[in-house]
Amino acid sequence: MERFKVIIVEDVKLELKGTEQIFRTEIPEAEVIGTAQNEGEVWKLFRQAEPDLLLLDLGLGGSTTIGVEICRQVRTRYPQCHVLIFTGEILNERLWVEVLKAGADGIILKTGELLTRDDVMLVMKGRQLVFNQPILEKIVERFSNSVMSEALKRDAMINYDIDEYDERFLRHLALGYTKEMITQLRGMPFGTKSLEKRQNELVNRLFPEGERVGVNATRLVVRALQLHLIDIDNLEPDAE
Amino acid sequence: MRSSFLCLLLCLLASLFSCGKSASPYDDMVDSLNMRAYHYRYINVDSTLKNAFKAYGEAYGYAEGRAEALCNQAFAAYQRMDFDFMDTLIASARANSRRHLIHLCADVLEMKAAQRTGEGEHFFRVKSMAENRIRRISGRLERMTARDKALWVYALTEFHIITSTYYFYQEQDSMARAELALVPPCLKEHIDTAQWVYYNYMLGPGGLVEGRNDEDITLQEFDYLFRAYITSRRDSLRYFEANCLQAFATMFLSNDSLLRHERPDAYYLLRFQHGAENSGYLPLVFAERALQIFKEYEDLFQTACTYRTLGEICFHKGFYERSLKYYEKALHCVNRHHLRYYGDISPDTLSVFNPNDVERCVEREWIADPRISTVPEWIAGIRQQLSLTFSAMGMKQASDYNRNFYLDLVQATNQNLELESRTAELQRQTHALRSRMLLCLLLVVLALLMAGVFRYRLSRRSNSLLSQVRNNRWPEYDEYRQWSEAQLAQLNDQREETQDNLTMSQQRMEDDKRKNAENRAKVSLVHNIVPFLDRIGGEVLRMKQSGHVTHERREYVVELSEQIERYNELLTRWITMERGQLSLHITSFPLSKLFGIIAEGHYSFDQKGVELKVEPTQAVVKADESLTLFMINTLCDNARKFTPSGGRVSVSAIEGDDYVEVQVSDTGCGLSPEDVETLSHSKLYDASSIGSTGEGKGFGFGLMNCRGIIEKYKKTSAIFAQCDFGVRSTLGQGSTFFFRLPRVVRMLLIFLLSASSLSASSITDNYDSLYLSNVDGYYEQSLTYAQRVIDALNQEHRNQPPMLLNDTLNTHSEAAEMLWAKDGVKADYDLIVGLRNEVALAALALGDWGLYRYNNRACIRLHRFTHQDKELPNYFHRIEQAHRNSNILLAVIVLASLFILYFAYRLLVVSQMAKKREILQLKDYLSHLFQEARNGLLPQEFEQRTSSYPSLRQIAIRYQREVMDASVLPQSQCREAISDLQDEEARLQYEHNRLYVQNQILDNCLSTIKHESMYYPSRIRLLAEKMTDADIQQLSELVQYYHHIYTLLCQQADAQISQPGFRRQHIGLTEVLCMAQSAFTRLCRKQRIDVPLSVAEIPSELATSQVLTDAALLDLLLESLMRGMLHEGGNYQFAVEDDGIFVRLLLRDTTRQPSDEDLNELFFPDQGEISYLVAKQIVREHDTYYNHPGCRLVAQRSQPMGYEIYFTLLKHNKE
Repeated sequence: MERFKVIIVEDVKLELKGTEQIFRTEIPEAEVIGTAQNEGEVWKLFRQAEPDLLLLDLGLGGSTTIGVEICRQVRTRYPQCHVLIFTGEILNERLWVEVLKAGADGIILKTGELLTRDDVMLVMKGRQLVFNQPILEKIVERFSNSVMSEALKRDAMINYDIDEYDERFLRHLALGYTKEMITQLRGMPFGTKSLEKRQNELVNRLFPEGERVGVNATRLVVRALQLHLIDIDNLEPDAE
Repeated sequence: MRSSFLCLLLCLLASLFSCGKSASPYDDMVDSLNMRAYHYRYINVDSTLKNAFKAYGEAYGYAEGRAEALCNQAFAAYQRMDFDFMDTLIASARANSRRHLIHLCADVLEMKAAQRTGEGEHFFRVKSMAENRIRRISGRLERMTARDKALWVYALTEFHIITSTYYFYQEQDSMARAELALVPPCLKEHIDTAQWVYYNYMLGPGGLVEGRNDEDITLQEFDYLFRAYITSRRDSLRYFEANCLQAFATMFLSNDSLLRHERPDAYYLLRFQHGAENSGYLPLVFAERALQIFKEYEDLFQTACTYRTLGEICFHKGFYERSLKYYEKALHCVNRHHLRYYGDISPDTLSVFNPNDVERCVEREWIADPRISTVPEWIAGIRQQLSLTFSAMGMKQASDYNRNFYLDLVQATNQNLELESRTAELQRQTHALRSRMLLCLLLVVLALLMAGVFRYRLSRRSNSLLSQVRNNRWPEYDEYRQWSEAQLAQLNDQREETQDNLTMSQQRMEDDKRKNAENRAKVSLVHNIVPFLDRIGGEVLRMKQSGHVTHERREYVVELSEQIERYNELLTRWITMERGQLSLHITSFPLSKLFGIIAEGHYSFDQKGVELKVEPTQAVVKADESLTLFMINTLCDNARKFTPSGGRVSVSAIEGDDYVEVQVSDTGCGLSPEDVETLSHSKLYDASSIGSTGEGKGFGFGLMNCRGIIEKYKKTSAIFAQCDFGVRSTLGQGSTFFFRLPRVVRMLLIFLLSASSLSASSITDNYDSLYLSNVDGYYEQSLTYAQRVIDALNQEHRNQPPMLLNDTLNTHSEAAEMLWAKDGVKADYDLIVGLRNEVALAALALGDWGLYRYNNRACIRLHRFTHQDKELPNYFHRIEQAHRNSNILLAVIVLASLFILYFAYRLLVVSQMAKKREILQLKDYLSHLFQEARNGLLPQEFEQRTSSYPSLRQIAIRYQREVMDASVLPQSQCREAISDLQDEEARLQYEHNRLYVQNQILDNCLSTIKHESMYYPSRIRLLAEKMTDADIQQLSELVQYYHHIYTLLCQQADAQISQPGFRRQHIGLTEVLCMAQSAFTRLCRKQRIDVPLSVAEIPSELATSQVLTDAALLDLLLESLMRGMLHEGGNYQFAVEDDGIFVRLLLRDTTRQPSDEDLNELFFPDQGEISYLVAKQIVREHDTYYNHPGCRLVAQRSQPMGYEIYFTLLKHNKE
């Protein structure tokens, strides 16, 4: 592998020492051309020499999110430079998304194995979305949760025997339509009486016995939302 | 019964025979027989009866003689206590005679009977009749024969004596005394020896004599008694002789030596007459002699009384068994009387003590039964003595039994309370009748007057009314104006007060917010350690992979662990620095309040199908209220989570000796013994390992926090030594989580109260505890409380003679409260009666007879006095009057109304009326308008039916507008403002509570972190320093374990700070500058530094800008930064600058020049400057709650000299 130039941005000296050590012992191809502890120093270093890789911590000094800003600027001003985030922000998932949007090539969490040669090499080879094990675990967990909830939704439709009209009825109830208004919809060829019956049946299906007493339209709709029978992000009335 | 029937028959027969005969020559004989019967009254009842019978038989046609004979027979019946028969005799005597004198004699006899049987109403009815007669007879005294005169003297003295006796038994001494004083002086001329003796005897033992002191009274009484005794002996009036002896017995019991010294002649005469060798036995000898005479005289009542006296003497001498026997005999006499006359109605008799049926009070049944006559005073006296004797013998239950009956009887003999109301009613009725009559008269006069001037006045009044209304000059309007102004002022005051409260709450809230921010900063300091730990982990991992240790790595690990140690030290320093600042709010409060709040939250339980059962409790605990609520809430939430649908969660409190245990039980899955062990004993555990698999989520921190709180209590003070937290559980059968708090004993509270102030509440509180301690049997304690109540009462009535617990010096004198009552001083007499009763009870139990007597007497007397029916004597006069009045009144009313109707018809011209009515309508409407406005309602339109005065409508509208503008609107605005402020305060209260609990728990978490993890870094360092390849595994395990624990602890703390404490506000930049200036001044004053701060102008591009922040946090942020920068001789600048979507707030110190390195590390714990850490945390919070990350906190060199720190806040441009 060819040699490449690295700038390390890290505000805690002791941590910087460890990171440098990792480069020295495990990634001999990397030449650390400078280290910066604050934003000003970063730009100073960039003016001196443009690196191939920027290893960036997200929080510097008193500002905990400044890394995102630095990343964004580097990507616009030096598009050739790879940016790898090396951060201890374990809990702030939103920052991960922000920094990926700002153009980071990957995120390495400062836990477990920390930075490995493999991760750095992948980035240098131009791979996007490089994550180390801890962050991958988190991502996969999120992913499986969301997949499972989609599956639940499909199951619910079948389990609760929800047909097209039920769905439409619930959706319009959620949008604040009265039963009279719903009967006016083209896709609902029923009268008010029939809708009331439908509502009662829905209550019986969606609520276990013992909880059905006193369920009103609002409670019914909320239940439907909880069971993912209607999609809160996609709540639109039928086009007339 | 049989004898009475026989007598009745006799009477009938006799009256049959007498029909045909005219005046007979036997009249003189009848008279002389009657006189003999009268003479023998107090000598031998049988002789009286015999002579009276004879007289009755002889007096065929001599109705008056016959009536007199019947009276004499009635007297005999009275002495035998055959009250029913007596009534029959008196009735037939009345039927036979038309003379007032004979009727008066009958009246007097009837009064005697009523007095003895305790029928107050009957007594007064007859008394009022008798008084009428006395008035009538006294008008024609001159025409009386000598014999009639004698009869008159008898009747009159008997009337006064019996009335006096009645008052005496009702404990109304002054009335009794006054009545005796009315006894005619002619009595002293010895016309009737028996009555004279009776009079002297009455003055003897009754306490009806007034004197300088006890001794003087006793001597006077003795003189009267001795006089009565000597005379009765001379004339062999055995009844009085025995009575006197009995009185002597009581008198000698306590005044032996006094009498021996002061009245030696009489004393020794009595002693030798009765042959008593030893003066100590004198009372006994007197009483036994009296008993003998009474037995011969066949007087059951007095026999029983003498037995009672004997009992009292024995009691006095300490022979309790013997005295009990005498009382039994006395009671037996009562029973004998009852069985003799009423045995067929109710065969039940009284017993000394019936342990099988302590509730049933036979004597009450007797009194309640109208067919039975008995003598309640008689039984009451015996019961009281029995209660004393039993108490002295240590038989508490029997004593209480008798005391209860005693009090029952006192209650029952009190003048019937019902009568009181009836009398009052009657009085009202009479009053009403009278006033109606007056009214009618007035009306008549008025109607006459009106006839002439009505028309003229009507129009004048209409006009003047109208002008009043027009010119705003009428009382109702003025009143309304005053009310409205006062109301507005009051509302304004209230608003200000609420505002003040709000400001105070805000202040408190800000304090807690600061503490919270600092705590959060501490948590972030804790988090700062994690990367180092991760680094160590990484190094160890690499060493493990390569299998050997390099010098470089080892050094690095050592350095890292040293760094962690430094951070830990900082944390410790920080925590210790603030120790004592965050103190618990310990108060005493009833648990029921919190349980109520818990019970209100049943909805979430209902949702899950779990029943929430909160058992009511009376317990009062000493603890921090907010934290206790938090704990119960946490336990309930846990229980709910782990109880399946259909289960039950119950919350209860169990009171122990010195603690209250709050329990939260569920019917959930339960815990294994190992889990119970872990939960109860280890400070730190992995929550996910507890409980059933998969459901352990979130479980654990709550419990750890609860444990932490309990530990904190324990550390705070020794009062909390008994605090505890734990769990009892069986797998599959649910669990019970509990904690213990110190219990507050009610008594303690009261003690504190009474010590602090002698208020009205302390009277009732002390009285309550007096009652309670009597119930519990702490009698000495009771006396202390009683003294306290008395002190408090005296304090309240400072101008009155003071009450005493006991008065051993003047036993005859009136208790102070009686004097108060007589003077009409306002006091809670029911409470005093109760107090005296309780003291008497306690004294009884303690065997302090003197104290008992004093208090019992005071109790009974006051009770009687306060409940006596003062109107009863006049009751019957009024009835007559009322009858007469109402008849006249009817006629008057009819006449008057006719008259008025006539004039009304003639004079009230319709148009004139209509005019006035309209004006009045307007006035009514306006009054109504004011009233409605007072109730906060909006006025309705004025409806004018006719239009005599078209301007009326305009006046109405004018008033409407004025009421709206001047009163209704401003008031409702004010009310709205108050309610807004109150809501705001409630919100603050809620948030403050939450913050407070959060702070406490964070505090706990942090100190746990400090304690639990302190030890590891140094272990790691030591291990790393001397590490060889073989130690890698060991180090790896240690690091992993440390990491695990640390993460766990951090999570516990994070769980707390995840609740938002940030309150978004828009704040203008001018205000921000002011804040900065004031924070700076404040800080300078605190640190006693005098340095300048120049505040730059706001740049024009920011003129309309605001910043989005939390004012309290911003203040703390500014203060923290300034605290870090401030030093003597500095020179500071503060400025705001535009920075894209942010506003930059900049602080500059132009005197100091720190190195770049220092500036870089300014916000790291390495520098050890806590205030910068707080500042960093606050900026971080802004970032988190903006939903727009990008806030900066930067320290840098400034040109040309010094350094500056700036932070950015999100900008918001005002519209």
